[in-house]
Amino acid sequence: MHHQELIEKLTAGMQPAPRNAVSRRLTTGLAVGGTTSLLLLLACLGMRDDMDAAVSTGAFWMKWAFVAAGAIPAFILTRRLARPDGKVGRLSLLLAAPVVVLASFAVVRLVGISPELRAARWLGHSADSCPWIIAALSIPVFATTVLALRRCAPTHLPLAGFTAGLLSGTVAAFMYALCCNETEPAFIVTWYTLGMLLPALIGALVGPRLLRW
Amino acid sequence: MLRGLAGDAQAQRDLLAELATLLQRFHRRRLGAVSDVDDLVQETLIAMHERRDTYDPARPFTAWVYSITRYKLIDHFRRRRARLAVSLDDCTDLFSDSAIDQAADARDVELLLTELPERQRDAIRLTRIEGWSVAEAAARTGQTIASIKVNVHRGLKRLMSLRRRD
Repeated sequence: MHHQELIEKLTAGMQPAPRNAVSRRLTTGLAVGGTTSLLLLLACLGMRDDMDAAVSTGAFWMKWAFVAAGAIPAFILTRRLARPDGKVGRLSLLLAAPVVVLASFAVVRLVGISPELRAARWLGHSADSCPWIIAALSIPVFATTVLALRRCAPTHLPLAGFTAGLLSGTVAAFMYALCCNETEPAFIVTWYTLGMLLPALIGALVGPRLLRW
Repeated sequence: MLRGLAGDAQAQRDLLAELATLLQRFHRRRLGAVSDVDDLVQETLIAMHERRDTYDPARPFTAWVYSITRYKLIDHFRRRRARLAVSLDDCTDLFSDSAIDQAADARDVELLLTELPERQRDAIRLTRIEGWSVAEAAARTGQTIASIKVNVHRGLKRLMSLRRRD
């Protein structure tokens, strides 16, 4: 067999393979990236001033619940796609659930009020900066997630790039919620979602380049 | 595979050798050139060995093997297409630069043209061989532009039917 030499070379002095390597790489990447983006947030924007009062409001937890409901499937999907035979499956539908739920709350809060008030609630006071800040905060998480994925074996590169971007977007939004004092469901469902989708789309575009192995 | 994951080098060697045989057959059937096949088999083997920790023992081993194999095959095609600039040296017989060939071609063309009526012959020679524009050819022959076009067209058609009869 003429590949024997290569096989000998490969297996010489080999160690046991680490168990759960894929999960461990991704969580390590997430921890490092998440911490970086948290520090970035604290350094550049700081926490909201009324934090003590905010933790007892529903709006604060609504934001975290909404973001976490996207982050968990995004993490599971990324972990699946990190393996060569990983498939997306029906779990991807679950990603739409938090958006649908929060959007219906938003609609309830917006019907039957004057157009001016509706626009004011929808745009809040930070609609023009919110998605951009989330996308910016996602950069460190995206970088560490991509590094982790590169050591795994993804084969659906645009998809893996998408979920990695989405995951980093959700982590960034989670951090951003510490600073943002918007309370309106319509605001959250529009601008937070946009901020989380932006890195996802970029991830889908650059995935084939960054994740090749 | 499981014993290989646990660090059993002999088990891993046996597994890779077995996979090498399968991969050789798989890639050979999809690629033409044998030198490429060997490279691709080795690359796939390296990928499987170095990324063996991405195998989840709870899932089918064949799916894992097949996914990596297919990925490497597609990657190979993609890379090959990226540098699919065929060397010009390999297709010299498509072009002929020898003066003898050119002279022979020119003689053949002239011979064929003599079989055409004069107006068609002039129209073709001026526009297609000497490279004049239709308007210039019209001015030189005294034909109208439209009739130059018609004569070129009819002449070429006639030449083709003559050639076919030969």
